[in-house]
Amino acid sequence: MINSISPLDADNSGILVFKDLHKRFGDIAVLKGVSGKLVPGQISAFVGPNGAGKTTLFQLLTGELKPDRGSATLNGQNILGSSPYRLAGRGIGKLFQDVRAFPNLSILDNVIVAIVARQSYRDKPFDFGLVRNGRSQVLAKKAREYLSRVGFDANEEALAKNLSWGNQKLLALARLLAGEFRCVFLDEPIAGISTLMANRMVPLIRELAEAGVAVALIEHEITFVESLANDVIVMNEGVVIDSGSASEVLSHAETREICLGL
Amino acid sequence: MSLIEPSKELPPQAVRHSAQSPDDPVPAWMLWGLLLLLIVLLYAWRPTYVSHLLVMFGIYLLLSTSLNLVTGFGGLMSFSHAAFYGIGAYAYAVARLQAGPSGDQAESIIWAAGWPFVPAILFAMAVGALFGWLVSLVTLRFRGDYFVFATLGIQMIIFSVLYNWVELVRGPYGLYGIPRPDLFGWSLRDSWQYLLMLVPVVTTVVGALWIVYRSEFGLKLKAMREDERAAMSTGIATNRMAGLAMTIAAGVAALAGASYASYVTYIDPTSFSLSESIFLVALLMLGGAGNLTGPVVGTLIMVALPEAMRFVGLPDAVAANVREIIYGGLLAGLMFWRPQGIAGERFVGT
Repeated sequence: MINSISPLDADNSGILVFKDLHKRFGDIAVLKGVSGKLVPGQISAFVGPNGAGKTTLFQLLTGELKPDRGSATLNGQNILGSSPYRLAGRGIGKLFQDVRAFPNLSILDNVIVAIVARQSYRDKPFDFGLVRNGRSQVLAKKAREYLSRVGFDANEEALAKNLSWGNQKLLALARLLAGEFRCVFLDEPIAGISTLMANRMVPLIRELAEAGVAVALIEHEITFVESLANDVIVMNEGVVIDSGSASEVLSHAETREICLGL
Repeated sequence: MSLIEPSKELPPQAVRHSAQSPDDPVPAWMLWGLLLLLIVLLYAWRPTYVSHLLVMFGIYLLLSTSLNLVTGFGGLMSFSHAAFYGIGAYAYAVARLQAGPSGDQAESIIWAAGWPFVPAILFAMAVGALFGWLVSLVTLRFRGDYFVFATLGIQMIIFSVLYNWVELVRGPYGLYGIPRPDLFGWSLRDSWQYLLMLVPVVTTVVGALWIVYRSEFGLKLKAMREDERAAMSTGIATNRMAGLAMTIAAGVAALAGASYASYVTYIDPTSFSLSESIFLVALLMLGGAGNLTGPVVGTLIMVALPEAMRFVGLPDAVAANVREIIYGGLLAGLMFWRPQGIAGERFVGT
């Protein structure tokens, strides 16, 4: 174990602060007391081998799983135990590891869904949009803005399932942008896509942070992490073993061994 | 494709038209065309046979378009739609029947109100919607195959109650002499008069459902159908949306049931059994779901097919069985070559 983990000793200055999270699946303790925080405008990268608990941590913080123990707050208010849609309503968004674009919806509809969900739930909780036109020109125009922000050039009426994997990731990112979240979790945003596509992704993620969003991402590609992250959190076997800037953590021998196998 | 750049020269009407999703081709003319066809048929022939067919078509249109909201949009294959259909029929019947001249029947059941037509119809819809909402609270704890079985169970329970609780609605004996509609002193006595009342009702309700299909609500249901985890992560309260869909669908199914009861004037539980629910799901599978054209086409075929069979002149003893075989064969063939149904958007199923 490397020296004590000072930057992550959670004070309450972050937008999202989590303390001492524990989670076990059956006999396996996946998280054994993880603490940390996400800060607006900062990109925090979670790295570590498979099974370190990174995805589980993201699932706890986005409401998809409930922890056995621990606390997490968004702007000082508890978020644990809330369902994902409530957390989305409070500004927490997620890009899934397996993308999860809506396969039988058009590209445009994929983005419109996110706009509609944000407007109706976050701003007007009792408005189901029962009669407002889901394909109005106003919505379509807004959706096109998000699509062009990610540089999407495919036919917007094509079904999402017919897109390449890389384009589905871009689409999922456009959908995430349309949610206008304050805090986003990106689970392996560039896994399985070409370098060219990944290079398109980097500035988009950076823009997101520059706009004041707290960005958390999981990534195995260390060069990508180095080029993006303000803060790197190294996890192994359910605990945080190191954290700091990318160059800092990579100067530690044990971290390098765990992350890069060097 | 036309959505990419709506050209500035287009009048607003055309722009709105182009916003229609391409897999839902011009349902507006279809509705009006149907309406026109109904009127023409009515006045040209006016035989009971044709008007009877059209009434049944209207009732099944209500059933299929409402089930489409849950199954085609929400992606939840529900086998309890016939139960809501039955609840509507019975709620209308007991609200209309009264103790009086032929009162022995009405006195033998727990409650018979003797209300006029309009309150009874509204009551039936409200009871149906209430049951739809209650059922959604239980069944929406499940998804996929488990949801299918939960709704199947609900269908069996409601059927059993209607069939066995004799004091409630006379069980297997059924209710007879259910009053036909009386609207502001105008009594509808034969089936073409009945059609005059039903056409505007069906057009209004199906038109309203069509608007709901195209609404933000419809889009959210589709997102839920496509990927519920992703839908929730964008902020869609999927359970709430599905519950609302089931409530609306059950209310419309109950309206269909009330129409049926007021039309045939005799009901018993066998009209609202599991096989009726299966028939409705099959109808949706055949026509296709997720848009308006699918259920309309499915209903047309399923209502017309048995009648077409009549003209083939099969002996009565085998006609029913042959019809089942044809339904089965049609469905199996469709699953193979066209899983989304004849005019549907996406495969109906879990």
